Amino acid sequence: MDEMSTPRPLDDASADALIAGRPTAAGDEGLLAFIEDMRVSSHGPVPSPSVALASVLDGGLVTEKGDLPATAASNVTGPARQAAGLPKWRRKRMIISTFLAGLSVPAKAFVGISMAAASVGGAAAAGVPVAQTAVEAVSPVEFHDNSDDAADHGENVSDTARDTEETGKDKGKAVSDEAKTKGEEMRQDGDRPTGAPETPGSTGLDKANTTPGADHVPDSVPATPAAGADNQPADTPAGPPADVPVTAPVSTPAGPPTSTPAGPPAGVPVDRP
Amino acid sequence: MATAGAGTVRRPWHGHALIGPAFDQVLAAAQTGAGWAFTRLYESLAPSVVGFLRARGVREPEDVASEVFLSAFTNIARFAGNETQWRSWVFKIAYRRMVDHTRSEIRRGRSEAPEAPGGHHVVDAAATSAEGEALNRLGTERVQEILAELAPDQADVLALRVIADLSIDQVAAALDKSPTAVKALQRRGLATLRRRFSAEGVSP
Repeated sequence: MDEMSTPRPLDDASADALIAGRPTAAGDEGLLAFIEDMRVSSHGPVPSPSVALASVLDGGLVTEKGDLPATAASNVTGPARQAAGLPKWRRKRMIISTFLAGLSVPAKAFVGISMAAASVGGAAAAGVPVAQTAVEAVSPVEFHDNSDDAADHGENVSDTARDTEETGKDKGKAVSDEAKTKGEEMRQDGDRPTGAPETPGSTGLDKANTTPGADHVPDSVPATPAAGADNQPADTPAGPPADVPVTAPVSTPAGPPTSTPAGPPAGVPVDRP
Repeated sequence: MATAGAGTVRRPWHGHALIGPAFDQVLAAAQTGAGWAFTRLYESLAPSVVGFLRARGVREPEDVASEVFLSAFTNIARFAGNETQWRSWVFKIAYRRMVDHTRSEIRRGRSEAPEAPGGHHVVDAAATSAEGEALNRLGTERVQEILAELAPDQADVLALRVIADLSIDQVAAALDKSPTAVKALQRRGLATLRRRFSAEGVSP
C-alpha cells in the first residue's frame, strides 16, 4: 500500500502546525491548500449591516449595563428634596418641632411655662377667669360663662353686695369673703349674726336684759320679725359665715336657705383655683 | 493539490483587520454608545463572522452576522478585555446564533439539507452538479461542502480555529468544551481532511 495514502496519525503539535499553514509531512499540500482557502474565503469585504444594525452604527446605542454592582448613589443619602416643598401649615409645624427637639429639658419646661403664662395672661386680659383658663388649657373640661348668675346671686345676698365694685363672679367671691370676715369678727367679739341665738331658747331680748342698758330694753319684740327683714340694714351680713353652717331659728329674717352656705347657688360652677 | 489545483481562483487574503493599540479607546467609546466605535468594531470583525457563518452553512449569513453584532453591541458594557478576548467573545455569540439559526430553519422546514447527527446543517450533496462542482471549488461553497463532510463538532472546531483565528482555549470556551476535547476534535477533523485530500491526490 502506498505510504502516502495512509498518513500517520496527527499529534497536537502537527495539528497546530497545519492550522497555522505549516506543512508537517509530505502529502499535506492538499490539506494546507484547503485550510488556506478557508482562511481566504472567509475574509471578504465588509458585509452590509441590517437596517437595525445600521442605525446603531450611525447613531450609537444606549448600552445595557446589567445589574449594578452597588446601589444608585441617589438612594444612598435618602430621597432628594421635593421641589414643591411642604405646605405652609406643615412647614410651620416642622419648624416648631425641630426647634423644640433641639432644646434641653429645662429649656422645654421654660418654654412651656412661658406659653402657659402668656395664654393665661391673654385670657385674663380678655375677661376670662384665670383658673378657668388654666383648667381649660390642660383638660378637655369647658366652663360655661355663668357670671350673670353669680351677679344675680350677689344681688340677692345683701345690699352690701350690691355696693361692691366687683362684677360677675368676682362679686360673688367678694360677697363671700366679706361674709366670712364679718363672721370671724363677730365670732371674735362673742356676737352672733343677726337672729342667731347663743343658746337654744335664748332670744335677743333675754340677752339685752343682761346688758348695762337693760333699762332701755323694751318688754317685747315685734310679733312679725319678717317685716323687719325688708328693713335690714345695708351693712348686715347676708347670713352666717360660709364656713359655719348655722341652723337659723324660725324667727330669723329672710336670707339664704338655712342649709345653704354663703356663695353661689348649687349648680353654679365654682371658681376654685 | 485539490482545492488549490487547476480552476481554483485564489482571492487575496487581507488578514484580520486588527484595531491594534487603539482597541481600548474604541472599546471605551463603544461602551458609551458611540456609533463610530461600533462601526470600527464591526468593520474589523464582520468579515470573519460572515465567513464563519457561511462556512458553517448558515443561510443569509450577513443577516445573522448583523444579529450577532447587535447582541454584542447591546451587551458591550459588560465586556472587559483586549482585542483577542473581544474576538473570542463575538465568535462565541456567533456560534450560538449559528446553532439557533440552524435549528429554527429545521423547525420551519426551510432547510433543504438533512440534519446531521448533532443537529447541524449538512450541505445537500444532490445540489451539486458538474458546473456547480467546479464553482464550489472556487470559493466558500467548496469549503462549506468539505466542512460539511466532517462531524459537526470537528467542523466547528476547525472553523473557529482557522476562520476566527481562536486558540484552543478560546474555542473550548466558545463551545463549552474542555481544551482536551477541542484538541481531540481538531486532530480528528484534520486527519479526516488529510485522508480525503490524500485520496483525491491519488485518485484519477
